[in-house]
Amino acid sequence: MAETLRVTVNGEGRSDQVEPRVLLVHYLREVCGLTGTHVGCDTSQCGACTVLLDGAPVKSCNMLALQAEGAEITTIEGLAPPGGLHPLQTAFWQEHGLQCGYCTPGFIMAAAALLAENHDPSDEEIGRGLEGNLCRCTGYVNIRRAVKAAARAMREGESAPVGG
Amino acid sequence: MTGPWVGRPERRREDLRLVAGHGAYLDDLQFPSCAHVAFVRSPLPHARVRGVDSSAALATPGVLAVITAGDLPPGARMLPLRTIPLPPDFTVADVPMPILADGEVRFAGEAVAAVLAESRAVAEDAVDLVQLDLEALPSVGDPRAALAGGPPVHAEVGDNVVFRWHQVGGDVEGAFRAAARTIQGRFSIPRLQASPMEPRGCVAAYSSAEDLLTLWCSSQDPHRPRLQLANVLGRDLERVRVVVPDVGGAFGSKGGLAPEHAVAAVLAMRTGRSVKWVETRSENVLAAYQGRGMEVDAELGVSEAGGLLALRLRLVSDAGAYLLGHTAVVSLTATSLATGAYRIPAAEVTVVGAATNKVPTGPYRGAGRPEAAFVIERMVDSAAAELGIDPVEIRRRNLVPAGAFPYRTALGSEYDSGDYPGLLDRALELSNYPEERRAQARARAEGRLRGVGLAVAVESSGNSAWETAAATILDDGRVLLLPGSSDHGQGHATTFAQIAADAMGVDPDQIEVRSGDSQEGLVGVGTFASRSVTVGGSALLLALDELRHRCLSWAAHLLDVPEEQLRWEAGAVVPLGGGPGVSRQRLAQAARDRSDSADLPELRGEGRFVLPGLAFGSSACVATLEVDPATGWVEVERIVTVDDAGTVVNPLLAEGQVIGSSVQGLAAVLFEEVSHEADGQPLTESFLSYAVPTLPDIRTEIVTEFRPTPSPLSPLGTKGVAESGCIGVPAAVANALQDALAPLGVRHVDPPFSPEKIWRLTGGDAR
Repeated sequence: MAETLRVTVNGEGRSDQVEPRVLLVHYLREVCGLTGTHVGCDTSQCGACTVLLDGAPVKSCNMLALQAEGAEITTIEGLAPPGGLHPLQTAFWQEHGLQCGYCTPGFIMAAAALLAENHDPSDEEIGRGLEGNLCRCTGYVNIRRAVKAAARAMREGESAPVGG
Repeated sequence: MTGPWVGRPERRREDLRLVAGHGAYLDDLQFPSCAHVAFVRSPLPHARVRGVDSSAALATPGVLAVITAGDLPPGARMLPLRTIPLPPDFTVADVPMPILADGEVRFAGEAVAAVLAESRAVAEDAVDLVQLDLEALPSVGDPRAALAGGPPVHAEVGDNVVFRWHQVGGDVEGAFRAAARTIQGRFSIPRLQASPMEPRGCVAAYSSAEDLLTLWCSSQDPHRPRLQLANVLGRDLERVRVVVPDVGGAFGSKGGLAPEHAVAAVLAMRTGRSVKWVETRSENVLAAYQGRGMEVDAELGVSEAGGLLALRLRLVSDAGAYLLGHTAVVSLTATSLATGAYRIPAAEVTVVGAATNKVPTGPYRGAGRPEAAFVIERMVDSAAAELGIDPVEIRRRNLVPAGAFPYRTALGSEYDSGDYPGLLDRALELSNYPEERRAQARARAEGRLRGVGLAVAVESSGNSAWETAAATILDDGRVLLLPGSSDHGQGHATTFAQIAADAMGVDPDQIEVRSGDSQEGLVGVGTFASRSVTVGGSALLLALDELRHRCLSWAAHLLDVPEEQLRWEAGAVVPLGGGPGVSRQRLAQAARDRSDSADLPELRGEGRFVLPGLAFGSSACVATLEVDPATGWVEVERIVTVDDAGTVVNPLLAEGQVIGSSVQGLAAVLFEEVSHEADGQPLTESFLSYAVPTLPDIRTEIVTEFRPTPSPLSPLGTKGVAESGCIGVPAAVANALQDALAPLGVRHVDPPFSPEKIWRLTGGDAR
């Protein structure tokens, strides 16, 4: 029996009828049409489905859509304003932090949550922040570089003079 | 060939879409009125199928059909047994894989029935309602046991030998008689799972009006699945279209048609619905073909001075329950590269493919090259240890010298180019090898287990030696490339645009690249065996040559001057004597309108390039590690790898391939193993039990450098590089581990070097 789910997805308030068994990732992909959030496993290992739920990273395959009632959800499509790129998206591109790109949205969302709390993470802190995501292409070396480059860009962006 | 664009670390044009979440992978494609298929799979490794009761499933609302082998159309055949040529004396048993099990299941995970339903959830629920009546049969999981009188996997192949080959070159007997010593080795290289982050999947749709069957599938190319699907269903090739969307990784595991694709196609034709199949990770682990799985007995005859005189291998491949089109090819590759980067005048290899009650094996990144490199590099180190020669010295004495190319090995491979001693020297220099040895001596003095390991490896590239490309000019003047091989993460669009930009004298942003649809461009081959830049890039140059010639013909017509008075310069046609030329836009528009020019050819170039042999990339690798005996953890501190990939089109992407494959190579020796019970029952069933490394697992410093010797076989001079790290790194790490454990008298460890195994070996359970 479908129930009403009220959530904010990428800044847009929504109200949808959702079956109780529907996972959050399937709600985002199939109801909201946001297919940038991917599914790579069925045991919550790979993190390809990571989104932000009230700012915290969650594996959206690992919770029911109805558990997100009232929450603000940010997916990869909503991380930057339309047409723009978040510093992490720019850094993954510039540092060659992706190859097939399937894991990338999940990595970027997990890294966004990490950088929101830690503006200058060490290798170890990046390791802890991203240990829930798997990448098979890059060997992680350039992902680590990209996260550091994005952190640097965000720090410099913050210290830049406002206006003018 | 290098120009302003070839050789530059261009950022990838593919990425802006992908980082924004706007990729279009298989499961992202939306189809109206799409039905979903899920598979009922055998829980037993070997059984007779006495019956399938689908009544409860069929009674479930939303279930559209349940089919078994008996419901397949009468013409439906098994998957093709041979898709890549084998030598004439390579014998292969007639054991192809059925698309649904027919009367007997031969591995746990084999599909017995398919459920079609209105939604994936209903299909998956209904799978649990299908009752299989199975009568268990004796089964075998270990390939050596299978050959030693194990129960037959196929009744008609009583000895479980599903392929066999024997290759010999030089006076092997004489060389072993002359050898001062014969070094023995026995290696067990476990099965691995390619584990692309996107599992397999497809959508099949049938248009009865056009009699056209279309398959969108997550595959390495559209061409092989198209040929195989036409073959399996007995359809004309022209009545099958295959489209490959964005692909979330493959590493060899998405080459060709999966049986599930054929079932989806059958259901689409039968119901008129589009039919989607997206496998779960657990299905991928159970039912997607696996890589490696080789048991090797080796003998190396050496002189007292450390000369390598003769090699003899007996290679048992764990083929699994059926032969896929490329199962045996992996053993062929391993055999042809058995002597590695060394001058060994005599060699003999016997290959035996063992049927086991396990999912079939096939190519996984490296596909025979890592197995060959692992064995020869371990054997060379064993010889060095036994003779008391430094591992660097024994390699220097025996590597194929830079002046010896083209070099024909005893087993008949022809290496086109390279400088193996030069690679080794540079890797030693970059790693500061003498200091590494001093650090090791200090560590040993303190009782720590520290090791340094070397490997020099070859990477044959360009298998199935032809590829195609087409090129034309769009109305806005941009050049459209239609390469025959398509991308699954390598960055083809970026590298092909760089190659074409130089050939056409334009910026890469004037190049558009489209691939993956069998209805566009020419019939091609695809991306595997590190072949796309070398074979596909050369085909592109041929296509662009023809396109430029045709541009000259059209410009001659438009300017009313002889073609000989025109030339191509900086992306346009210009008169030799100066004056106004003809832009690409004008050429494209004239060719489109073709009012008074019916005799001129279409403004399009086509190229088919045949690589005259194999282009051999190579690498030298130095690995440094330390073992923690308290936990058994092997900390690989540093990998230094120097690669000869010939001309490097894009060093950023080439380095990305070296690093990515090096980490897969590290994972292969440190963490990964698909394990089974003795009867073939899988113990590895998901990412919970298969250790793909995470970011914090990979702390190794990876130092890369390119040291090119251009290949003479192609106009670009390129060679394969995308499998490099999977080939050299496991061997170098294994040699380093052996070196670290030498003070304990440990003579041999098979991968993976898991903490538990190493902890026991270092006396952990005795403490």
